[in-house]
Amino acid sequence: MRDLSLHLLDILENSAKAGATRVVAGVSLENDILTFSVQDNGPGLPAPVAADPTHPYCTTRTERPVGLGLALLRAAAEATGGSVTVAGAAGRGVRVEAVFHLGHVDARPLGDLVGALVTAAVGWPYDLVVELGRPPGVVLDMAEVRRALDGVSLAHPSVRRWLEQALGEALAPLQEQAAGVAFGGTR
Amino acid sequence: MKSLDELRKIRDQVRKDLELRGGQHRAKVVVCMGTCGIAAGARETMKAILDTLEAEKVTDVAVVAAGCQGFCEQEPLVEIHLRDAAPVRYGHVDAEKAARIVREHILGGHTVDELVFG
Repeated sequence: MRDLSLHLLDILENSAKAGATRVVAGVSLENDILTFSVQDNGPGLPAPVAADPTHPYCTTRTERPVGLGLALLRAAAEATGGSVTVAGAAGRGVRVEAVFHLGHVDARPLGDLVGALVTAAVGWPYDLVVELGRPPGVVLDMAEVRRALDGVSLAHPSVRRWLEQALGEALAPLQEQAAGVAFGGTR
Repeated sequence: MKSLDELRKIRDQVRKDLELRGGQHRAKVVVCMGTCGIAAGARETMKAILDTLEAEKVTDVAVVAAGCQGFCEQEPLVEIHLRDAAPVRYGHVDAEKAARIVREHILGGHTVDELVFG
């Protein structure tokens, strides 16, 4: 993955595959410590994955027996001195949390966080909720957006612009801070 | 969270536009967004598709994401489902090819033969 926002987009697909109907994606940045969290309401970790969720050969895939999403996320986080935790007791959904040190020389840039979240919000059938900061505040709730749209397509250009604006305004300070604390950044 | 009033106005406008055209989508575009797709640039591909549709003022095409189809080496993969036609799958679709597929296949009705996969 070229940047960290793509990792977030990537793990958001797992919840779609698991059949989750509501997924909360949290983003926070304290000093140079970036945290992504994803909590879904799917069925929890299935047996082949639960043994070692970030191992490439522990996967539910049927196309081929390798799953790289969480493995790549872990590699990206650990390269910065961060970590990934995956918890998912059966019936309780799955929670993934990834911590990155953006000031580390091996940290990839944050990338287009707004684009990644809009892509997931529009692309996956569940209701994505985006939370920002600590304590988290809700900056987007797709359940409310879907209710307001009442059947009108999320992919419609005007709807997409609205989503980009809503998330863009909310996340701009974090993106700016991320650029500032990055290794060799504009601090 | 941003106020939803503006969104409700957008909804009413979109409905009006759709009614003018009989309310049906002319095509569905599926962009594969598994780990392989995303790593190969599927987010930019999807963005290019949406931007091209917007530039061409087309609002009756549905664009959706899908997981890995098992052809990871062909990513980014895009499927075009025109109404009343068999789906066509394109491989290695970067932003530039995506725009071409939208213009020639969806709007022009001609499959872009040299980009077809499978």
